[in-house]
Amino acid sequence: MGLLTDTKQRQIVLRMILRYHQRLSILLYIVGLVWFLALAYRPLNAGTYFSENALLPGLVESDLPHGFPSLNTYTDLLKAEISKDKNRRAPKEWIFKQLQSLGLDTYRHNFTIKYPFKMAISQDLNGENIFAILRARRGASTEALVMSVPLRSAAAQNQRTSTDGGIALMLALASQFRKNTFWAKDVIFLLSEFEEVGVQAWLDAYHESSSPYVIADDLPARSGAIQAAINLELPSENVRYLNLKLEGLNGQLPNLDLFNLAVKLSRRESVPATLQHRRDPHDQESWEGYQHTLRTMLKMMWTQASGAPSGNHGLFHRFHIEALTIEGVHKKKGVRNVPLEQVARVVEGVFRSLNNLLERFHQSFFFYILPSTDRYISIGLYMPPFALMVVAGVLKALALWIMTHSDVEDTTDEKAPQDETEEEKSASGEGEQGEEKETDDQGDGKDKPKGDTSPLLKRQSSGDKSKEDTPEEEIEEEGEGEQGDLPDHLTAEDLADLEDQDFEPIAMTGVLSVMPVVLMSYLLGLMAYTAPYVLTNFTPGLKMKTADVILYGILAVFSAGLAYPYLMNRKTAHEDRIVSDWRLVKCVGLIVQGLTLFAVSLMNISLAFFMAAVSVPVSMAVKPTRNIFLRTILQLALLIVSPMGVLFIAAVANTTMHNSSLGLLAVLWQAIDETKQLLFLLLVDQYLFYSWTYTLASFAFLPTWLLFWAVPFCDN
Amino acid sequence: MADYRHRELLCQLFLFLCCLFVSFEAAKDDEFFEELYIKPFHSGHVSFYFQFTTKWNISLQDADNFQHYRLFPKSLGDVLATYNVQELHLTQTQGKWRHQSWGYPVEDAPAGAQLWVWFKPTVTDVDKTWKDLVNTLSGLFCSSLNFLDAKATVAPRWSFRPRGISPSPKNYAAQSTYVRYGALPREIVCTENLTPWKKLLPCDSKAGLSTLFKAEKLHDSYYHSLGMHFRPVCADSSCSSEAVELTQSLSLVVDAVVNNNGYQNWAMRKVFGQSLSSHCPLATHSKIFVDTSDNQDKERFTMSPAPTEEQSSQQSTGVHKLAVYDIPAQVKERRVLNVGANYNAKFEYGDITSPPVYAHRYITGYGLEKGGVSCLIYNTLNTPMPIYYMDTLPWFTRAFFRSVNIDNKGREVPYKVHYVPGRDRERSYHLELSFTLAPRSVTKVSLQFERAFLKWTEYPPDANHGFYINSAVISLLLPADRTFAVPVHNTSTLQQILSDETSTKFIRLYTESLLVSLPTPDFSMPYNVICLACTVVAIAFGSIHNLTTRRFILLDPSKKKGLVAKIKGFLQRSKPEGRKEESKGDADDKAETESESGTGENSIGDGDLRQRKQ
Repeated sequence: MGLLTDTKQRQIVLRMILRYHQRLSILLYIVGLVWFLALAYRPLNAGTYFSENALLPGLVESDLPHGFPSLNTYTDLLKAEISKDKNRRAPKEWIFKQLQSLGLDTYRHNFTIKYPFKMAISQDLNGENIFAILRARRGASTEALVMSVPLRSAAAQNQRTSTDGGIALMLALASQFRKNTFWAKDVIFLLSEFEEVGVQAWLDAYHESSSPYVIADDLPARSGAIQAAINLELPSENVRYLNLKLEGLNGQLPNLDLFNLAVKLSRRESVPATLQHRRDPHDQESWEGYQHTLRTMLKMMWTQASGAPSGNHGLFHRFHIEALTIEGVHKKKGVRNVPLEQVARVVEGVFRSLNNLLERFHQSFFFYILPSTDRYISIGLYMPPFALMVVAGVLKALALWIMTHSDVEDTTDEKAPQDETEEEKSASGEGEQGEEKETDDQGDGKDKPKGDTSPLLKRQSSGDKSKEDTPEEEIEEEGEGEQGDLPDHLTAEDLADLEDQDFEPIAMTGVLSVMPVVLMSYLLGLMAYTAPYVLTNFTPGLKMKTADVILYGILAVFSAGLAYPYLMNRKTAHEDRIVSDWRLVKCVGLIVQGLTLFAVSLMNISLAFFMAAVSVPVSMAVKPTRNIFLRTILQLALLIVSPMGVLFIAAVANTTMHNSSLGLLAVLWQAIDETKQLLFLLLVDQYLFYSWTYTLASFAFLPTWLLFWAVPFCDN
Repeated sequence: MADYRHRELLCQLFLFLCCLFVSFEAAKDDEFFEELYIKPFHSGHVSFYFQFTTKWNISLQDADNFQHYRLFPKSLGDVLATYNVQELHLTQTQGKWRHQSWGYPVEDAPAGAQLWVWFKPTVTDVDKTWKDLVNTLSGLFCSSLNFLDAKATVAPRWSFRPRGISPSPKNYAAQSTYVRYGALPREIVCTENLTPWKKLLPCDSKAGLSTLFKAEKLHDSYYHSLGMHFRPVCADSSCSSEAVELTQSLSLVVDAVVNNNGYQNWAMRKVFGQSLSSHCPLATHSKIFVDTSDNQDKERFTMSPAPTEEQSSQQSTGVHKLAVYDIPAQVKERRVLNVGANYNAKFEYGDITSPPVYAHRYITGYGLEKGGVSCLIYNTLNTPMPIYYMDTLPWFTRAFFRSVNIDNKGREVPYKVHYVPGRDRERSYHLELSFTLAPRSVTKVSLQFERAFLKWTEYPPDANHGFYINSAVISLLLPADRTFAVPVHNTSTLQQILSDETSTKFIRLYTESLLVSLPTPDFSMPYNVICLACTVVAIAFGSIHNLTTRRFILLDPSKKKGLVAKIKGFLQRSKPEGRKEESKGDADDKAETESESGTGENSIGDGDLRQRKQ
């Protein structure tokens, strides 16, 4: 509390920030990053447990008869039906009849997909879902559970796993569930077409929320509030392991209890459960174990960061329905495959547990990261390291703000030497307090006229800067903040450069001077947001593929973004020129970045983490310089961390993940195609499923980045 | 002498016979009927509808009549007389009657408990009487009917008119002053409700059809409803005198196909766990009716044992066939009666012909801020169908009247409305609409609401389960159809109901009750918040309060101190506990610092400040 009242202490803090902000922010960033990655290490995370005791997982014996003959019957029948069909599609008519003959209320649900962009081909696509409701004996249809299986054609099966096993298993379980008397919640069996679109249409119809692109007919019947949903993607053969997919739309995850339930029950039936197709390591505390869990965690985060659902379950989350996908993976080699019967017991167990639920899932965690199936990192664990990473940028912003409002230093100059020792002692502690103070300073600073920075302090600070520029440069280049060698010739030039720039008077004052830049960047963000829609209106005329049009269109908008600092620096009458203090621009940019990243981290930590990891070091380092070489490097680094750059990096990563044998050039070449696909999918997700990723990119990441892009172009 | 004696004896005998006759005549005042109506559905389910009717030839208006009881239950009669009840209808139900596949029941009921009562015109404070009545009934039926307080009760204007004869004044039935309706969707029927309900029967469960009621079997059904309906009726067809009628009904729907390897076979022993071996001796008649309209030539199933008689009546909509079992005769003949049906072929599921009018109601929207209720009402008839629609929403789903919309194929339907807006924590939202369903169409009634954020003490223990919304009620007059049999004003027993040939019948449909989730705080959070808030207050409040309430006064260091003060100062330094008194003493002769707030903390602060100056 001394900070609020004691002006002397405040001065100390301010000076401390000014003096140590470079070192401190780099330290914070590195500590944050390392800490975050270290969370995958077993002693640093926590073991999963059941928070909701009503689930009572595995308390009851399975009701399924030994061998589960009806499963085999249905599997054989389905195979026979599929072989009859030319396209080897799952026979909808047959499935409908089967469900109806079980005595379930069976219905069809039609929907139409209108493609969001005016594409020449396939204007409207008609789909049909089938769903059947098992009316519970012990309830009045006020609550329901959903078991869903995607209907896939043979063509789709080439890319994804077949779901025939899922269909057979659903039918077999439906016939079994029908005989059970204990159901208190209706069970809805849903077979959806066109993957996520079908589910989206059905859910929209169920909740009567309309969408302009997925037009769903009214549902003929419903049950009550859906409590949970399990999506099954099972091949018709024996499976080696069950892969659990959690990541939903916009990075939403199901309640951790649901995941725990699936893991626990598959363990009970001795079916291995995996996350991201990776089994838990035997010894998680060893270095190998750590590497393994770290990769699992990063893979999960990678999937989550995209904001695209990893399966049909992903769309349920928007309606506050906990859902996950159980994917069975069949391996031809090896004999350790488990029969589908065991999987059926897992699914049966999950549904019986869900049937026990008295309340909606509300305990346990909704925000977590998983390094393995039995460990979790909760929001309480991952936020501190993430905050450190982002605070690094905010601290820098604070220092810049103080620099531009440097009257603070004038008063404290004389006392500086004697306080030095104290400062150093408490340097690390004060840094965090300083961040809290940020708002106060702004309030103070606005009214006061800005004085020139005192030579003494400036020399000090510039000296500091030159020393600390070294690690910063590395971060730009390496992106991960690892130690490396520094090009020696840079230091001297850099120093000279900085000396110059610091002594030059600042042309314009106040936050208002930055407003044109900020406005401009947000305008460009708006352009990027609307571009796909506007541009694709010309597609039919241009006879180009929609994906191409979007890629080139967005590249054009992006290039406009790249060019805008030049445009703003156009020579006009000297006094009317828009001149912004680069420090203020950067300061505003860093604050906006911090805000954005924190906001995003509350919805999608993975996206926020990856964005912070790449953009924070570069944005901290960026500054105007006359050194062409340095400037080029800075701009290159900036380009890499631009939204387009990140998208390209993601594409490269995806390409290498899928086929690692390719050469560098081939990878890059394929990555361009991949970028196109990614961008297209992002937009399709946005239009069809209300994914936020593209909106975030165009309204949050792009404008922030453009602010930094403007910095090297500012006068210094 | 002997002659005299003989005459005396004769006289006595005559008197005795007279008395016997009189008492027998008196006994004729009330009658009891026990009946069971079994109907197999096209969905593979079989419905068992028990009805126990007590008819008592007394006038309801004279409270003195409720003094001497024979068949009518005294416990109930006392309650009815005390609270001046004109008509009372109570149902307690588990499950939902699925109109679309089962058609119409004899008595429909919403899931949970429902009570609606007409009070006599003599009642002055209806609300208070209602409150007392529900409390009494909740004790009588072991049900939480006492939750039907002002927040859960409405006075329906159109949907709930008296079912029996109405007393004067003439417009009694048209006023909603004397009627109260309340429903508790969460109050699901259980064993503890069955026992008090059974006790109202003249034979309890000692003899007759009620011996079949074994709780574990009843509750293993798809639908299970206990009903109790009390109303005044005409004593005879000319309606020259009044009578009261108490109908107790138990409705049960079981899935016969699942339990019988795909055959829709059913038998009383299988469904109830036992056969019938007696009839209630107090009953005027004990009968079982089995609907065999679908089995015209016995090609689908055979009844066992053979029915006592087979009735068939030619109605406008087809031949209505009933197999009738007279329980006393059957029991006498073969000691136990186990009525059942054996089907010739496996049951095949297929499309079921929907009833003329049915509805489907659901919650729309997602998220915890807003929501909506929509109700699709299907009319499969070729004629327009005027209906009344009643919806009651609890106060915490704040409905917007402007959002009420009735839509038929994109066209808005004109409607008449009775709307009572709710009031937070006082009254629920009550909406009654009257409109016409276009022939062969679906009409959608929809309205929007806002979810209220409750006070934290208002949440139930299972706050995240959700909150129930009552069923909507649809009332209409349907042209008679052989597929359904419902009681009308002049039918009491099932026998009458099933052979009634009124051309239009009044039907009341209950839609689904709904479950909405309200914004619910994390209830473990208050603890965290309290900890955090206390810490912040402890740190910030002390110092800020100290700073803002203290007055600083300049002290002149050049001013000489007196000798006494010097000594005192010296002493004080060596004795810190003496500081307090001393600083007070100092304040008199010297301008020291002084504190306006007299807290201990501040006086210590004074000492500190002064010490620094010294």
